[in-house]
Amino acid sequence: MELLRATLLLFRTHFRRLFFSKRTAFCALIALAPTGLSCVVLGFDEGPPPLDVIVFPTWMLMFQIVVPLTSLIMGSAVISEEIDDRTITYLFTRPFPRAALLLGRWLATALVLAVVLGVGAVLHTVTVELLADIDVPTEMTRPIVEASILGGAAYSALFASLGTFLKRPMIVGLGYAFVIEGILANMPGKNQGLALVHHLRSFVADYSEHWAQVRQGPFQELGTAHDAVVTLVSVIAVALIVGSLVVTRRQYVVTS
Amino acid sequence: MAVLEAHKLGRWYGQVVGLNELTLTIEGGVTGLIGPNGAGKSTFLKLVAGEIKPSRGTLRVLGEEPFANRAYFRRVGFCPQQDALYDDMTGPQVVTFLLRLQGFDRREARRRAARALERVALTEGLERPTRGYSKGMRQRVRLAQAIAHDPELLIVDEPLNGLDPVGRLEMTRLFRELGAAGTHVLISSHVLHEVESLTRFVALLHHGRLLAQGTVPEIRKLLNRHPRRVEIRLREPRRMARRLVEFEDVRSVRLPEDDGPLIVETGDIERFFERLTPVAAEERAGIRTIESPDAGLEAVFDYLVG
Repeated sequence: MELLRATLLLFRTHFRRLFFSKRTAFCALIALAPTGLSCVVLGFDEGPPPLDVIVFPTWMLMFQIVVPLTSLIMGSAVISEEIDDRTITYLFTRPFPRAALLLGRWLATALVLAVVLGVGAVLHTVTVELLADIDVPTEMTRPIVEASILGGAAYSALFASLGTFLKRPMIVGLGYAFVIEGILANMPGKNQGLALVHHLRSFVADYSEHWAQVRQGPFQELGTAHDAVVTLVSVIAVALIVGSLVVTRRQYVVTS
Repeated sequence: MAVLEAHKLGRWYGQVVGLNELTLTIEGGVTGLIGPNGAGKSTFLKLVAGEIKPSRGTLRVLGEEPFANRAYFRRVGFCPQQDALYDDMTGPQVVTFLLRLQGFDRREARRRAARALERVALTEGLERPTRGYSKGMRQRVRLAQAIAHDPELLIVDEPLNGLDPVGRLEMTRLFRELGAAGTHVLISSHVLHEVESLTRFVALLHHGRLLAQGTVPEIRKLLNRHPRRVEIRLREPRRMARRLVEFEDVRSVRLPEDDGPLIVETGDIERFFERLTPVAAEERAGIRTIESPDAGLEAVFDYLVG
């Protein structure tokens, strides 16, 4: 009960502060990248078919760069911001379960990310609809939005968890998201399943035939949407459990 | 029962010793923790506050082990030294938020926050975020969050830093009131006279070790045994030197070289200064400046530890 109460209190406080922060504004700018790219491509005289202007930026830019990068910026700060600001002293000398700090702040982060990435994804498809004067089917838009939100939650949980035991989670997170995942997700074989981006791609590709061309691309061995959801939710759960255990036991030394 | 019992308490930060083999018992009331910068005061207070855990030895405060102990955290208030606050929140919001984490409902938290801010004399200009507060105001917010839940033990690290003379007076009065009301207060400072007005009992720390503990007169006596150097720039050094060697507390007098000062070493600096002024007036010595460069605690402590 105490855990729930403290989690909700920390969630509410952090959400209000985070939503109007520079960090969120910066992430919102990053989330507009697919929209910007689509505007440029649609401006070409002999550009690709309009639906491809949704498919490829989503596949390569949204899932491989925007979602991990915004999640890294937000997620790695879940605990480390309190340490860097030296305010963790006030929290960890209070009688509430320490895990609430991770859970409450992560919940707020995931919600802000959901808004930022969701709006970014919707704006992307709406922009293409307006500029190319076409109707983008709902079965194409909805999975993109859902996958972006789910991806934001999974990546941010992972990076928030890293932040409970690493001094510089941002650096390690950058290495993971753009080097390790970059290699794993684009290599043939089962190793693709170790990259979160692989599951985001599996999720959207399972919903409509519009993704057939990327699905048939080299080395793409995508799974089902159901498996993708199970994997991503498991990653969130494991990351939060491990992070909660670490944050409960660990001491954080703040310099005066 | 003692409020605090530390036995062979040690704390390292990697290779750096923060606190070493500290054995100390504090009975209660207001206690001063004195030592120069780097003496281990903040480390000790962080251990007492339960923010960090000991590398070695035992520590029991109010009968409990402090680290990550939620029952204990209900009974203590900690005002850390670092000038850190939630910069985008107002002072009342910060205190209310922390009180809610302490377990109070919203209404009670607001009431207590307002009362605590009033107690630290912070009632105006609170509507803006704390990033716009002066250093003194921020210090008062930090103090307010530490006392707002009426702790049994208040732990304050260098609380008078950043306060103007009026602020110091007000805070000193507050600590005295808290002490009189039965709150145990553990207060650190690197200036002896700051805590002198607050408490009779003082513990001296140096290089992470307990150097001495006792009442303020006992400690002062100990400190005064240390020969202190006084540098005097004046018009008539020879005439003055002749008079100064007659003082029984003066151990040596060195005449100035070129344009330098007259250097005097005394075993009782307070008595020396008492007698210096009338003698200087008698001799029309034309004193321009008087400095005591080693009067800081650091020098005295170095002397005490040999």
